[in-house]
Amino acid sequence: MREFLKNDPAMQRPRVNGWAVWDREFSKRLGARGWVGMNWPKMYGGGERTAFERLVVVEELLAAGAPASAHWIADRQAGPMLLRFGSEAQRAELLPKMAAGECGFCLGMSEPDSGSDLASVSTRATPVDGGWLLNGTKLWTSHAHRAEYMMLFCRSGHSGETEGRHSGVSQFVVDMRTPGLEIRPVYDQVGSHDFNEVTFTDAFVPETALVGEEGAGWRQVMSELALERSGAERFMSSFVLMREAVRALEGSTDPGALRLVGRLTSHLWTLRNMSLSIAGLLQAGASVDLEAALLKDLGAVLEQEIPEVVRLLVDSAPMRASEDALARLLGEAVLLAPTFSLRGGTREVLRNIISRGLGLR
Amino acid sequence: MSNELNILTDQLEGFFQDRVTHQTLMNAEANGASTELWEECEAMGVIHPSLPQSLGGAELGVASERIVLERAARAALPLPLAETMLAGWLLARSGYTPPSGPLSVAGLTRGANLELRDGRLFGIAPRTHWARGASAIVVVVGSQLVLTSSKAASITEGVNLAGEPCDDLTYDGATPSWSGAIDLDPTAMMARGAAMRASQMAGAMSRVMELSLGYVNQRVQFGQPIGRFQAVQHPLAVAASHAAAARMAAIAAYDQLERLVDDAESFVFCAAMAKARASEAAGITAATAHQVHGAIGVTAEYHLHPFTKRLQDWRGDYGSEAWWQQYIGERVLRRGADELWPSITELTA
Repeated sequence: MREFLKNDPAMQRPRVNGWAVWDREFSKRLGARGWVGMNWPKMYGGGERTAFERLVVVEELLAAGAPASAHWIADRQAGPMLLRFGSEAQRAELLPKMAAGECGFCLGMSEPDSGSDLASVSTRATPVDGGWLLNGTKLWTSHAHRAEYMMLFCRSGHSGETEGRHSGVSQFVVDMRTPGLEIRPVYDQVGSHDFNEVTFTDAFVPETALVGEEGAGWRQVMSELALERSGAERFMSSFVLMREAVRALEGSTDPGALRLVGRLTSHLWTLRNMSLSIAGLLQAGASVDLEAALLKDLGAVLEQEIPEVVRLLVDSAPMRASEDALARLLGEAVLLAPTFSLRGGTREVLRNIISRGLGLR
Repeated sequence: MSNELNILTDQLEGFFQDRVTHQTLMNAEANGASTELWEECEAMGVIHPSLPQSLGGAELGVASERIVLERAARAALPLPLAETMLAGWLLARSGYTPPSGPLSVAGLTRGANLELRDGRLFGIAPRTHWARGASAIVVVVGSQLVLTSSKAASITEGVNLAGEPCDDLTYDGATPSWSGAIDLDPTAMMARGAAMRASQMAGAMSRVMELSLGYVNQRVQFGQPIGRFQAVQHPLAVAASHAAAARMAAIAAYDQLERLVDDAESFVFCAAMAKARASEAAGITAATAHQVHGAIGVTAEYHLHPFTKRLQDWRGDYGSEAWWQQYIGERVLRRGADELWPSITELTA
C-alpha cells in the first residue's frame, strides 16, 4: 500500500483533508487493486478481508493525504448500509460498481433548517403508484454534483410529525440523474465547489429505491453512526501538515520544538489506539456511540491544533499557492480547519452525547 | 484477560474501596504507611502480580500490574505498590528474588548522582519515594543494581504533593547487601515507572470523574442540580474524553510491554507517549473536577484532594511531560518525517 501510494500519480501533491478531495481515477485505481469494499462479500465485488485490513488501507490513504473522496462514503457508509439493510437487487446492482471505485455516493442529511437537529428534516417522500415522490431541499451535500447516487434521509409515508420525531423517516438510494432533482453549487471560503444544495420537486423514485424498512430510517442511520465517527479520518485530516513540519525540523535540537512534536505524537498514537479499540468493539457487536463521540471530539481538537502548533514550530506563512509544501499545507489546514469540528456531528452535539453517556442529561 | 485476573480485578475494587477510607488517608499523611494495610495487600497477592512464582510473584501476566495499580489508585491507596513492583521487576530481571516487604527504587530521579567505589555506595538520590519505611531500596547506578537497607542511607525526610514520603538519600560508603548487572539503561527503567504512573493516573482520573459526576448531580443551585447546566456538562465531557484517552494510552503501553520484551527502545517510546498523554489529561481532569466542585473540593475533609494531589504529583514522576515529550520529539526527528506514520503503526497492537 505504501509502495503503491509512493508511485501513484495522484500523490504528487498530498493534501490536508485529502479524504474529502474527489479524484475518480484514483479511486478506480484503488478499486482495481481490491482496496475499496475490501471487507464486503466477494459475490458483491468485495474482497472478504477483515474490517481491520480495511482500516489499514484507510489509514494509509489518510497518512499519505490521498484524494479519496470519490469512494469514501461508498466504502465507509453506503456500502455497509446496503449490506445490512438493502435489498438483494440493490446490493447486486450497486456494490460491485462501488467496489470498483466507479460509483460514488453523497449523503443527503442536512437541510436549510435541519443541521445538528437531524430529526427535524422536512424533505418528504410521498407514496405513489410504483414508487415515491420526493419534495424538499438538502443542503451542505458534499460532492452531490460528482456522485452517482445519494443516500437520502427524509420523512416518508403518512407517519411523521404527529408521532415521535424519530419515527416516520426512511432512507432511499436516489440516482442523481432523477428528473426533478436539481443541484446548485455552494462555494466555500477556499473557492472550492464541494458543497451543494439539492432540491427535489416531485422527483419520482421507484419502490426499489427504499433502503431497509419504511419508517426505520432513524434507527438505521443511528446504527451506522459509530462507523462514521470513529474512523481514522476523524483525527488524521491534518496529519500531512504535521509530517511536513517534522521534515522542516529534522536536525533541530531546540527542546521547545522537540516537546511540541512529542506532545502531538503522543496524541496521535493514543487516538489511533482508541480508534482501533472502537473498531474491535464494533466488530464484536458492541454499542460504541459514546466511545465514538469521545474519539471524534478529541480527534477534531488535534486536527485543529496541528496548524496552530505548526505556526509555533516553523517560521512560515500559510500560502495556498506556494511551491513550498509546508506553506501550502498550512494554508490548506488553516482554511479547512473550521469544518473539522462541524462535519459528522458538531463539537457541541458530541459533547451533549458524551454528557448523556455520563448520566448528566 | 485470564479468569484469575478477572477475579482478582473484582476483588481488588471492593477491597481497596472498603479499606481505604478518608480517615485511612489522613492517618497515612500523618503517620506514614500502615503495616497492617500492607500485610493485607500481601495476603491478597497483589504485591508482585506479574513476576514468576519462582521469584515470589503471582505470575498473572504483565497486564495484571497495570490493573492492580489502576484499582489501587482509584482508592488512592497510600502504600508503595508501584515502587515495590518496579524494584521487584528490576531485581527479577537481573536474576535476584525480591525481598519481602515494601521496596523503593533510588537513582532514577532528576539530580541523582551515585557511584560505586570498591563495592561501596556514594552519592545522593533525591526525591526517593517511600524510602524511609522500605524494607530494602534498589539503587540504580548506571547499569548496575545495588540493594541496600533503608538504614544504609542518611535520610532527609520529605513528602510529595499528596503527603506521601519522598525522601532525599545520601550514601557515604554504604556496603550493599547485593549487587548485580542489569541489561537495561536507566531510561528504560524509568519508562517502566512511567507506564506504572500512567496506569495510576488513569485510575485516579476515573475516580475523580465519578466524584465530580456524583457531586454535580446532587448539588442544587438556581433550582436544579448544577449538572443540568450545559456550561457544567461540557467541561466534564471534555475531561471524560481526556480520562478515556489516558486509560487507553496506559493500556496500549502495557500491551506493547508484553509484545516488545526484547525491544526496549520501542517500549520506552510507548511508555513515553502514555506518560506524556496521561499527564496532560491528569491536569485537565483535576482542574475540571475542582471547578465543578467549587470551594468544597479544596477542603481537607472532602474526599477529592487525595486524588487530585496525586494526579498533580505523578505528572512529574518517572519523567515529566517536558522530559518525555522531548524524548519522543527527538526520536521522531531522528527517524525523519517519512517514518512518522510507520513508527506509530508499528507500535499499536
